[in-house]
Amino acid sequence: MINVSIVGAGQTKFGRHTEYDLRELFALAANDAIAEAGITTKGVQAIFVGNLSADLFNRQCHIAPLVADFAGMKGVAATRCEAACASSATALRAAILALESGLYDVVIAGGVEKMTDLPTAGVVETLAMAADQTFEAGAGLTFPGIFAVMAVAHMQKFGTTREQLAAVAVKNHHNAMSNPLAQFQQEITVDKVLSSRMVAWPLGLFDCSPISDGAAAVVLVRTKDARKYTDAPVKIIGSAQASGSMNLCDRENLHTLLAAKQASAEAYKQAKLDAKDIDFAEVHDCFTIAEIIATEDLGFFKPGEGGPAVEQGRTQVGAEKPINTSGGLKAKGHPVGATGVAQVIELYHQLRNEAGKRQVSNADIGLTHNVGGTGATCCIHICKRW
Amino acid sequence: MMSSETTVKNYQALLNERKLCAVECTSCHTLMLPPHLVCSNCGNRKTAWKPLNGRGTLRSFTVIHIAATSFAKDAPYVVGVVKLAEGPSITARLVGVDPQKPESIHIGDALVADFEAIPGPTPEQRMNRLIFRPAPAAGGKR
Repeated sequence: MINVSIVGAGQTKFGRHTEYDLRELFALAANDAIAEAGITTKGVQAIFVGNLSADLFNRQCHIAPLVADFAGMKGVAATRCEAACASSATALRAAILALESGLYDVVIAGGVEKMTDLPTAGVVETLAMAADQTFEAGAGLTFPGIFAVMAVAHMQKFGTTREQLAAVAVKNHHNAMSNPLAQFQQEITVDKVLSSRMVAWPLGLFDCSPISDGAAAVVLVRTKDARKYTDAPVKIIGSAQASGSMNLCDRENLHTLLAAKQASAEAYKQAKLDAKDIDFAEVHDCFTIAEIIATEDLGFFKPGEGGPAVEQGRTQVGAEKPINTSGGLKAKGHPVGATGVAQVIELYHQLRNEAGKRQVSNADIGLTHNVGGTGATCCIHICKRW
Repeated sequence: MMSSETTVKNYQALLNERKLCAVECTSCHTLMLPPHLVCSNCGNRKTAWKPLNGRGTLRSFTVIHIAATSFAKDAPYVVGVVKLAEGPSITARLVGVDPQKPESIHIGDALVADFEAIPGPTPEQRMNRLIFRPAPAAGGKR
């Protein structure tokens, strides 16, 4: 049983930032979270920060003390967590474990990535490093390529169509229209997705999440202390993580992520809940196919039904299982190290009835599904309204 | 060479000799690719190279249009996950297929391993890269 609650949240706008650098993006998000929790930087004892590769994007290692310092928290225990695109979900888990251990009482979990400092080819190369450099990136697979291989396997097995993939992008762009912090604020059409420039067949440019800058942070305390900070904390009642093969070729099935099934089974068990109890979810739609696979791995739909479900509108806001109300990685943006915590922040706002036009009515339980790399890491968090 | 440790370095050295091998656990006989030093099934630390016949079938694939910097000159190119006749799978480039016609490539297609010389770590050194080609259609005997 997890007994940790979120008492403050902060997120920068996602997109291309030309005014702020890595440390400043984190400082903005962390201090928004601190202010919302009604504390000062002096009240924070430890920070855990997710980041894939400031090393290559910004030529900066050792970023945890750097961002702590420039966020006004010099002196705190500051640790960087890296699990590719699931980096900040692992930071969140590290923070939860730190609180559960009793060692600290007030902890920040966050994430930051500043990707646009590199030209696109450099970003492609850096992201591909989250796959096995020797055996898959080395064979010429890119990140979109890895998910394209999964898409082709899913299409072959279940008859999933490119139109169904496109429906994910169309829905998530629509949702992002009511998220002021999202990178994209424009509707797109199925035709636009299908006619976009090919990246890795069958995935076109509009099947892919964008290159983004941004940061996200939450203030966490033990649940028994949470009401001292806010009238509406959000409880974390499940936090699970699993790993799987780095290599696609070492997996029995290519149309599903074993780590996602394993982590979600554990999180459901912790929360004493089932897939049907989840009112809405933020899932890792780094590519359109990934959302379809996620909704199947999480048990929301049977294997093969994820494609038809999104096409039929069953995952829109207002429908039976709203998915990626924030716009998802696809349209909210995907500064990779910040994504896991940003997903949880969407749950936080939904569960506090603060999500405006994208608010899910009667939302009591939300889930986040954050995937690292090729699916070799998956973290699941389940949050509950106070 | 066949008694050498089942390292990535030795796997590449075998490829350089135009030999495709998997790693076999000497205890539970699990076959592994990419190479492991420790059995992924039973944890046994005694492993050995097992030569493969190079025949396989296509499990899935993609056509890379936007490649990483180092492969940009090759794009568009096809990368597939190939299940070898002996059981394990490996990811490799597919050569002799048309990247402009992905609909002409099918899961289940029969493939054979081949080796392509590419530049190695230094200009003097060459190394072999594993690739797969469509299996010759003749007779269909396996």
